[in-house]
Amino acid sequence: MTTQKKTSYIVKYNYGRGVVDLGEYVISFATSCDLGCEYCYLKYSKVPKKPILYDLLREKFAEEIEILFSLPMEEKIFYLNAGETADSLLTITHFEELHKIVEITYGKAKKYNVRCFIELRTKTENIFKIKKIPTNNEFIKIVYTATLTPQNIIEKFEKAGRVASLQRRIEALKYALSLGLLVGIRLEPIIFYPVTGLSYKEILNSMQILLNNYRSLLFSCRDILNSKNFHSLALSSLRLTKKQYKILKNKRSELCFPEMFLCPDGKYRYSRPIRVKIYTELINYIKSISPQLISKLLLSFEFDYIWRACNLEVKKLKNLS
Amino acid sequence: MREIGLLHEIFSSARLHLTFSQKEFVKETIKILNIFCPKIEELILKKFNKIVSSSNDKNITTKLFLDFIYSLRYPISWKKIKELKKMDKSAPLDLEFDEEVFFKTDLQKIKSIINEI
Repeated sequence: MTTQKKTSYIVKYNYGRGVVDLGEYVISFATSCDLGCEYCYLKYSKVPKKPILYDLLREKFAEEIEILFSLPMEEKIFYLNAGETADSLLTITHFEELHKIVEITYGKAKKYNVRCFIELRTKTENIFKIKKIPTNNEFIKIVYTATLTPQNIIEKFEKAGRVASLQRRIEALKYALSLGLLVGIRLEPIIFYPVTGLSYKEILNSMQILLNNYRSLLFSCRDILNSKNFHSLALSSLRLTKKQYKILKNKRSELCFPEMFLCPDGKYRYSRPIRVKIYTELINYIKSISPQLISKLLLSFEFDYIWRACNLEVKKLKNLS
Repeated sequence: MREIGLLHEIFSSARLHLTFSQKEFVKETIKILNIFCPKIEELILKKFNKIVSSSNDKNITTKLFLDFIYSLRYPISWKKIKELKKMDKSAPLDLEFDEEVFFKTDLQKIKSIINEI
């Protein structure tokens, strides 16, 4: 692992043209990732393949967080995502850096009397290895979120062994709940796999397999979803940049599903009827196992016309708990 | 190699005419479909031969062939795209647009075309 200097630690997340803004700020304390997930943009961007931790200049971070917290806003609530530019718990060192960030943020949140969520997003089970985890208090709430995907997709498109199995990710979520943290689930990216054939009927058949896999996954999480400390559930279908799409096509990757279109934000996604069908089926299933969860359900990286087609009200992450 | 042979046969045929971007689309489609269905070239070749022998009019054979390629590439959306085209030719054919901004009438019909399978 290497370290580098960083010019800015906190940035307002740029979702892309037309994409619904969930109101996140990104804490950029690290970049690159050696988990090697085939669908991840990091694998195809010009960043070194080895994980990089930026030198955390405490004063500079404190200055940036102070500027953010002192912004004139009606609601003094912030949602900071520390798992966007790298897996939050990629290594224990990553977590130690985050621990410092939480401490500084706590001090400033107290000073400015703001409420702040800090999301730690991971595909690992490293939470079990961490000795001291920050506790939630009136100013800071840690939201431990796990990216969940059916085990067949983990084995096909993530490096099984480097990332945790689905079962272990669910156990890690339960462990986080036992520590008093808020937890969240990200079904992201939802990948159309396996593809059993390319005719209209076969696509519908593949979709039923996909939906059954996700229903089964959600059913395994029903205790977590019904917990009072459950923060949010986000659904998001696969997105590929133009560059990724080209590379994956040449590699004959099964991520290159034929029915994908270039969307207004410049990313390839499954066609609109496919996305809407997947989301609405999953939303209906979620309502059946946890009716109150609808208020904590989001579409991540989607356009407002897709939210509307799914009968879902647009929400901000900071207002969910 | 089979893919190149097929492309050569289609692109050099005097029985239909494809523009540069249409050729690129056909090339990309065959490449992607081949990932999931290794026998796709045989199917395309069979259909291609059937189409080019069905008419002497290049415009007709080109349209039939492209329709066939689109239906293979977008099995769910292609019928919807055609329906939408009939309603308004200027609507974005990738179906990625806010229908409430674009259409003032027939909204319910539009919504069911573009959102439902």
